[in-house]
Amino acid sequence: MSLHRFFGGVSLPALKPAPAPLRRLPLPDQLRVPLLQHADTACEPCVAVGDPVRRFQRIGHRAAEGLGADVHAPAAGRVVALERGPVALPGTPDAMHVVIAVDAAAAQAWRSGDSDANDDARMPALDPRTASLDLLRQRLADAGLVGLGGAGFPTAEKLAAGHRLLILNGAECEPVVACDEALLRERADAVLSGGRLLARLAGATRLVLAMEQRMASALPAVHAAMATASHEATEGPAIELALLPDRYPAGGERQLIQALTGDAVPDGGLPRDLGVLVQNVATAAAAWRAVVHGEPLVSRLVTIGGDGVAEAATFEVALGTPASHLAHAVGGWRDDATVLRAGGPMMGVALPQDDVAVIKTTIALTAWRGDAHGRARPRPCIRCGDCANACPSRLQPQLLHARLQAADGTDLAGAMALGLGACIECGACDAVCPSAIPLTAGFVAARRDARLGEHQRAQAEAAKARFERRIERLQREADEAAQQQSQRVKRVSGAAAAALAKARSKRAASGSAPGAADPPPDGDRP
Amino acid sequence: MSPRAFRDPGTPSLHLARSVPATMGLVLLALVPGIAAMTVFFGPGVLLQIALAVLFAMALEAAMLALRGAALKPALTDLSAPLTAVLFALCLPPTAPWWMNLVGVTAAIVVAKHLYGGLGHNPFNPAMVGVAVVVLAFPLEYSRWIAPGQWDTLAQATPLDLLRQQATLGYALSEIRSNAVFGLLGGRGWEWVAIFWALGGLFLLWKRVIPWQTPVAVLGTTMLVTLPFWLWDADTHPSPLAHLFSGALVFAAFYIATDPVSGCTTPRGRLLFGGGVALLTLAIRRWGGFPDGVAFAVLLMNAAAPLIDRLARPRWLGEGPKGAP
Repeated sequence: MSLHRFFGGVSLPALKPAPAPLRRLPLPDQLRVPLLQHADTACEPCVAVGDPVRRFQRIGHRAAEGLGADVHAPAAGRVVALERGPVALPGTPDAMHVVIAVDAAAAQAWRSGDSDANDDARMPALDPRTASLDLLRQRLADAGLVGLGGAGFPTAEKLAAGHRLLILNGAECEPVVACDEALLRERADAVLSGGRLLARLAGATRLVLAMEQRMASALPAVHAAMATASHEATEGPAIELALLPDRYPAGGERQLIQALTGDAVPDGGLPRDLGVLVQNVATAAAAWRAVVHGEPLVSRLVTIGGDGVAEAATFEVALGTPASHLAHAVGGWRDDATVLRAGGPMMGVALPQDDVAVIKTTIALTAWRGDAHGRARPRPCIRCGDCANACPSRLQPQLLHARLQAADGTDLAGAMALGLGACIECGACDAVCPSAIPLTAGFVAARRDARLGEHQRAQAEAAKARFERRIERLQREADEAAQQQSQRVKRVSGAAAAALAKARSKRAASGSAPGAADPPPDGDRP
Repeated sequence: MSPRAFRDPGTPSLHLARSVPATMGLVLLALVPGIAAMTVFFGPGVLLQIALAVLFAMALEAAMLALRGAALKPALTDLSAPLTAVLFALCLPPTAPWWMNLVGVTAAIVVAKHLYGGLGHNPFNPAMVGVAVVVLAFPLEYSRWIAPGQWDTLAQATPLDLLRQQATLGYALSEIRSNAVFGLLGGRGWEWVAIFWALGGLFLLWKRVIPWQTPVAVLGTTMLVTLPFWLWDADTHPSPLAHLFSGALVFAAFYIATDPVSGCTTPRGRLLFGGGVALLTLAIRRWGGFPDGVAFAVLLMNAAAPLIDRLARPRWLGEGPKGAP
C-alpha cells in the first residue's frame, strides 16, 4: 500500500542480530516475577511464600481500582519469597516480585520446547470464530494480555468496538531490537490469525500489517501466511501489508498512523478519535495463543544486544528472567559496559542493576559502553535546527529548549504554546544535536511539571468552583429567606386588609366609627 | 553473585551528530578556495589580516572567558572565535591598518559575542557587528582597496563604489563598465572570488553544514528583484549578475546569513531571512550612503529574526487550527 509522508526522523544504524532460528532461553534457577508489568496499577499477590505453583497459574490479580492485568507463573515451582525491587518500566518504579524456585522438571520441559498440558493451569480453549465477543475479551483480560510493544496498556481495555482500522505494528524502529522481526519470521501465522481476532473484537474493517523495509528476513514467512490467510478467510477484512522506511521512529504510534492514513492524531487526543487502533504484532500472537491454546502470557521474545555485549541475539524468554541471565547466554556484559537499558538505545529505560527482570513490555535488553558512543559535555545551543529536521512531531526543539532554558527562568507556558505537549520523547533530537544537549530529558521533565501544574490548577479550579457554589448557595438561601419574609409581610398585610374590610363593613352595618389599628406583625404566622 | 550496577546516562545511547567544532571546522575549510582566490587578486595582505584577526580574537576570547569566570577549554577549542575572526578579516581591505582590525575584532568578540552571553546567545552576527563598526568609524580607510592583480596600486575604489559615484555623476552604465575595475560579470577579480566562495558554499550544502533555504533565498531574491529593472533599462540598472558578482552577496549568502545563532532557525523563516538580507542589501546599494550594505542588511535582519521565526514556525503534527487552545 502507498504511504503518506513521514516527517523528520533519523537514519540509525541497524545493529540487529543476524537472523537465526528462534531459541528458548533456559530458565534460571529462580524467576523474579514483578506484579507490576504494565502501565498503571500493580497486582495483588494471590500466592504466599511456600506455596507450590503450576505453570500458567495466576499469581497476581489485578487491583480493584485502576488499570491492570493479571500476572501468571511462567513455570512450575515453589514461591520462595515476596520481595520488592525495581521494575523495567519508565522511571523504574519499585514493585512486589514473586520469586519462584523453578522445578527441575519444568526447566527441562521448557528447554525441550514442549509443555505438559495436563500438568499446567491453562484455560480451556475457545473457538475464535464462534465464541462471543464478550467471552473473547474476558479471555484476553484473564490471560493478562497487555500491549507488548513497550507501552503495556491492558489489551482488553483498548478493544472496544467502533474502530475502522486496526494496525498491527511490526516496525520496531529502534536499533538492535529484532523481536518483532523474529516473531514474524517464525510465527507469522499466529500474528495474522491473532490480528484477525483483534480486528473482529475492535470492529475494524481494515487490517494493516506494518513492517520496516529492512525486515527482509521475515518477508517470505509473512507473504506465505498472508496467502494462507486469504485462502482460509471467509469473513473479516483482507490483510494489507505496509513497508515503512527504515527511519527512526517510523514505528511510533502517531508516526505510524500519519504514514498509513495521512491523519494526525490531534493534540491531547487518542488514535481512537480517528477510529484507529494500533496493536503490536506480539500482542496479536499472544492473543491468539490465549484463545486457541488457553495460555496466559508468561513469555515473550527479547533481543539482547548493544555494544556492551559480545553478540546480539533474540530469545524466547520466560517473564521474570533476570537481565544477567540473558547476558550470560551471549557471553556476559563487556567489562566497559556502563549503561543497561530495557529497550533500544534511543528510548530504552536505563536500569540501575542487572537483576531486573524481563517483563511483558521488555522488547530488548541492550548494554552500552560508556565512551564508545559517549557524549561530549553539552555546549550552548547554536540554533542550527538539526533537531527540528529530525523531529517526527515537526516540533522546533531548539525553540522549546530556549523557552525552558530562558535566563529569566523556565517559560513552561511558552514551551507548551510551541507544542511541547506533542513531544513523543523519542530522542531523535538528542541524537543529532551537535552541542550534545540532553534535549529530551529536559522535555520529559518539563512535561511532568506541566502535568503537575495542570493537576494543581485543576485542584485550584475545583476549590474555586466549590467556593463559588457555596457563595451562590448562601446567596440563594438569603434570597429565599428575604422572599419568604416579604411573602409573609404580604400575607400579613393581606390578612390585615381583610380584617379591616370586615370591620368596616361591620361598622357600616352598625353605623359606629372604628378605631383603626393594625394587627401585630406576627399575629398571622402560619 | 551480587548484581552489577549500571548508570542512567539521561540521553540516548546513540549519537550521530557532528560536533560544533567539526561544523565550524568545515566552514573554515570551505572558505579556503575563496581565500586563495582573494590572495591571488589582492595580495598577501589578505592572509595577514586573517592572521591578525585570529590572533586578536583568540586573545580577546580567552580574556572575556576569564572575566566571565567560564571554563576556557571548551569555548577556546570550539573554533567559533577563529571563524568569526576570519569572516571579519575577509571583509577588511587587505591594506587596512592593524588597529582597524583590532577595533573590529573587539567589537565582534567582546561586544557582540560575550557581552550578550557568549556562543549561542548573541542576537547579532559578531563578524558583521565588527564590519559595521569599522565602516562607521573609518569610512575613508575602509573604502581603499587594492586594484586586483596590481598589489602595488593602492587606494582604488571598489567596483560597487565606482558604480555609485559615477552613476550619481550621470554616466551611463555601459560607460562606467568600461573602467578597468570591471570584468566579465561584475568587478574584475571579485567575480572570480565570488565563484570560489560559491564553490565552498556548495561544499557546505553537500555536507549539510548549512541549510539550503538561506543561500537560495539570498541569491534568488537578488536575481528576481534586479532582473526586471535591468530588462527595463540596462543603462541605469546593473544586471543581476553584476549585482551578484561585484560585492559581498555571494559571500554573505553562504557564510554570513547562514550563521545559525543570529539568523532564523525555522525553514520558512530562513527563506524570509535570506530574502530580507538580499532586499535590504539592494536597497542600501541603491539608496544608502555605503558602498555595500550586506553587513547592515544582515544586522537588520538579525533584529527581525526572532519575530520571523515566531510567524514562520511550522505546525506540529496534530496541532489544532490557529486560535484553538
